[in-house]
Amino acid sequence: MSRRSGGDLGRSQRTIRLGPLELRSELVLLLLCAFAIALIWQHQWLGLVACALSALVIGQLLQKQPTSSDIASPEPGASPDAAAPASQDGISLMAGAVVPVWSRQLAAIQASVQSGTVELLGSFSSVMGLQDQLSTQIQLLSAQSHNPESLQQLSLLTQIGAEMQTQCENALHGLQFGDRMSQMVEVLHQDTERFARHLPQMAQAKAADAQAWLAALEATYTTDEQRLYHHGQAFTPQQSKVEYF
Amino acid sequence: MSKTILVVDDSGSFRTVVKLALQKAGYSVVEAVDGQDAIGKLDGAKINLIVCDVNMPNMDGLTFLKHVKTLAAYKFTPVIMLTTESQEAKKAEGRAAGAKAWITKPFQPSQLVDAVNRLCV
Repeated sequence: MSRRSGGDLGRSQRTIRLGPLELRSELVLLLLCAFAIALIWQHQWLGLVACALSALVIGQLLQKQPTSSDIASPEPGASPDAAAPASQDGISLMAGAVVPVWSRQLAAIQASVQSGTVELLGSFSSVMGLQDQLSTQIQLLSAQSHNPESLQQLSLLTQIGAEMQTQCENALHGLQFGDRMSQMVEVLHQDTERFARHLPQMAQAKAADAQAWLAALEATYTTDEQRLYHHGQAFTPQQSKVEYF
Repeated sequence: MSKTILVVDDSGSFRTVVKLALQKAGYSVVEAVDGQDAIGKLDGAKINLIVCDVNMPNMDGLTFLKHVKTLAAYKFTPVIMLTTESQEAKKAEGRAAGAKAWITKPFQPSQLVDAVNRLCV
């Protein structure tokens, strides 16, 4: 993308484009003033109002045209105070452009994890149903079988059935991690959006503001895992236990 | 006739995990998506035990638990809190509100079934 020179910018600030006509703004204002004086001289008050409105429209057109500080980087050696409004605009622009993309990506991860978990759960539900059928069939056959060879085969099938049940149970335990991950991503998703909303007002933020922000984020955690990661500490998965009251 | 468990959790996949584990153990399951929905599901229904998450929209699990304990028909229905929340302060709040057990996610289905077998009235 080419960048216009300062000279071009300067010219664009002082011209008004009306269809194919490009007029210098000073010339237009001078003509309007002359016209207004003529109207006052002739007591044409309605025309005078129209003339004033035209001047206002021209003023608006001139304001809407880009200025060099909107586009160009601050000049080397420019004072920080002069550059501050531009940097605020830059923060808003960056936040407005980047954060929605992060947000969409995080939402997509969540949706993907959830849909994968639902699909897996559907499959495991079927597997568990089949395992129930297998157990029932083994019981029926064991009641009917009497020869040693059949009983040995049934014993093997019973072992397979029991192993399948254990594996299904482990799978149901493992599938909960998808849900847990989705919850952790949701917390970050919400905080990212909160951050984007507040970013334009953060130019003068202090260390205490950062601490307050992080404390608010930490308050939304529900797991020890999140709290430890927040402080850069390692997490070792614990065996789940039941506490009776 | 099988006993009925009310499972309250805002995560559909989590409710499915709990439902599969409990149905496998011979229980009937009624599902609710949050505390408010669960109050609607109670409405005179025969519920032998409640398994409830803590962090949920509209009405969280601890608020629901406190509400259940004010209902004459469900005052003595045992409630198991099943949650990712592991802070001692939350557990103490649950205990004070009348929960009978606290299980931290992710859980082993056999643990849940054992707890339900032990507490189910």
